Amino acid sequence: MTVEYTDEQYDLIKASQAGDEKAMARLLESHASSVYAFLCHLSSDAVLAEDLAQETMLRCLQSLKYYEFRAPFRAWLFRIAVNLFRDHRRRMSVRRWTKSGLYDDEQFNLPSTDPGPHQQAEQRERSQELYRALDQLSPPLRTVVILRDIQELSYEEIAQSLKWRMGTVKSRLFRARKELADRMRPFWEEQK
Amino acid sequence: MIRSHSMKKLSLYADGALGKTASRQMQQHLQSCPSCRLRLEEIMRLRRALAAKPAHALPARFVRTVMGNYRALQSPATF
Repeated sequence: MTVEYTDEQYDLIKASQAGDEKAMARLLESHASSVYAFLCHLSSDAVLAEDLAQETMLRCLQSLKYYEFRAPFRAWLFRIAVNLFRDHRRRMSVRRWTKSGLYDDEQFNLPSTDPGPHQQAEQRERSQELYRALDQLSPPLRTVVILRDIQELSYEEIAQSLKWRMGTVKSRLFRARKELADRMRPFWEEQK
Repeated sequence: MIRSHSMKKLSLYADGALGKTASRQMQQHLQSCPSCRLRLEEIMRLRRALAAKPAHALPARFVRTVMGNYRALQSPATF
């Protein structure tokens, strides 16, 4: 597989590999938000996500010299994040994820784009239901749908991040979407 | 009742991940199949809703903290 980079991305990674701390900081700034957001969605725990994101970025800097541009940098980085999250789950023997209330909009003071309070309330309710449905997916299905539909990784990037075959990515993504749609259908039908 | 392999194809179609021929066949099929159009609309709706899921703001100190930890690990320990 050919990995394409802009000159700027390539130079930034090469400078970071050479130990340029300013480049490292810029590299972190380019990717930290998406890694943190991914771990927030995956763990439903903002504090845990921050810890794991810090560890991910630290490991990234420590291992950067081994990165050989074979896989997309983002896939390589998300792979570190996924492995750290799996390790954490194993350590904590967590059978059920979540329930920290991360999906409560008020926690993040999220602005709504809807004009009226009634519509705002309805939209919030639908969003909450979708996030609950996402929460109830099995870990592999949840991970793949977050990587594809929220983080917008390509199928190839997902396959490399999770070390899955392409067929597995496709079939698990389909199953995740089907489960989500099955759970959301009654809410959508209510709106008609 | 829609067959699950059709749903899988719809999922791939929604991502633009079907080959040219399969994609053209799917387009033709969708014109005459309201059930598949409905399922495709559901997938697209899910994708839109998930893409709009609010991103959590990265704590301001994040990069500084990571760089600080990195420097601490790089420097030799002093006792």
